[in-house]
Amino acid sequence: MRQNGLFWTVVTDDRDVTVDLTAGTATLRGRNLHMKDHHDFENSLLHNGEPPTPSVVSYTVKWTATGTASSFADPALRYRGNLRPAIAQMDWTARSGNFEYTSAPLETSTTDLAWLGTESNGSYF
Amino acid sequence: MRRDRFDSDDPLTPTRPVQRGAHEGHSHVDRWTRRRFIQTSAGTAALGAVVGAGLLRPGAAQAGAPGIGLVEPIPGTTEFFPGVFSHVQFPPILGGVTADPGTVFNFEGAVGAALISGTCEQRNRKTGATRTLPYLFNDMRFQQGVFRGRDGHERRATFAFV
Repeated sequence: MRQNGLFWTVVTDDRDVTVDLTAGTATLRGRNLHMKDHHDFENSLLHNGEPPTPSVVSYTVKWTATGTASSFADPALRYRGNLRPAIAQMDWTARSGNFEYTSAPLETSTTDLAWLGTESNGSYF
Repeated sequence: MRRDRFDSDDPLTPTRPVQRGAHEGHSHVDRWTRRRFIQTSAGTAALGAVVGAGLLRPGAAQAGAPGIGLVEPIPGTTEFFPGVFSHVQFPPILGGVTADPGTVFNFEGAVGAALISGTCEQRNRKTGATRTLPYLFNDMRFQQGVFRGRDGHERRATFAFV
């Protein structure tokens, strides 16, 4: 988390994301991103465990919308979304310390929960 | 989708505290797969934001990306640990059905959010030993569109939540 409160978010190249909302598809790619391996969730937020390990990760995530769009809004938090449920799958590789990791092929991954759509928040609400 | 796994309205409560000092003999993924995710009291797993080994988060290499310091986080938060409020939600499991799937505020555009599970192969680079491990609820997201920064200027940008 950054000092400004932004949570696990980076600016990436526009070309790393391809979206076709009409077709209901999107792809997110990352290549050789230098990350910190915080080892576990608590340590990543509270920094109360082992120091992070420098790591390098690459990934591809694909979304395919599967249902109709629904509109959601929370005026109190100035958020409006138009989202479709989706199937999302990914493959990835990582290197951290003495270990390398290679995921099974993207097609073998399973969606726990996924959304694809549009949103407006804050000054665009 | 396995939506039934997230139907609980119970508050998200970490039920698998970190066992510090348990590094020896366990890879990061091993520890991650057993401890990284959050469970509700009903036993439904909720959030983990990981790709790769252990819990990988953006580091210094990304910190200097143009404009990131101008980005406002969403006002909605999740209290993963008592008194620690993180500016992240995930509809409907974190923040309810009207929760913002993005993390960037003053934003308009496309958004994708996903929790994905699967398996991976771990290889010890020193010994060559390999084994297959699960990964659970990897939280991957993007936002692509325009945002208004702290300086009031509108910019086009693409954000990845990794």
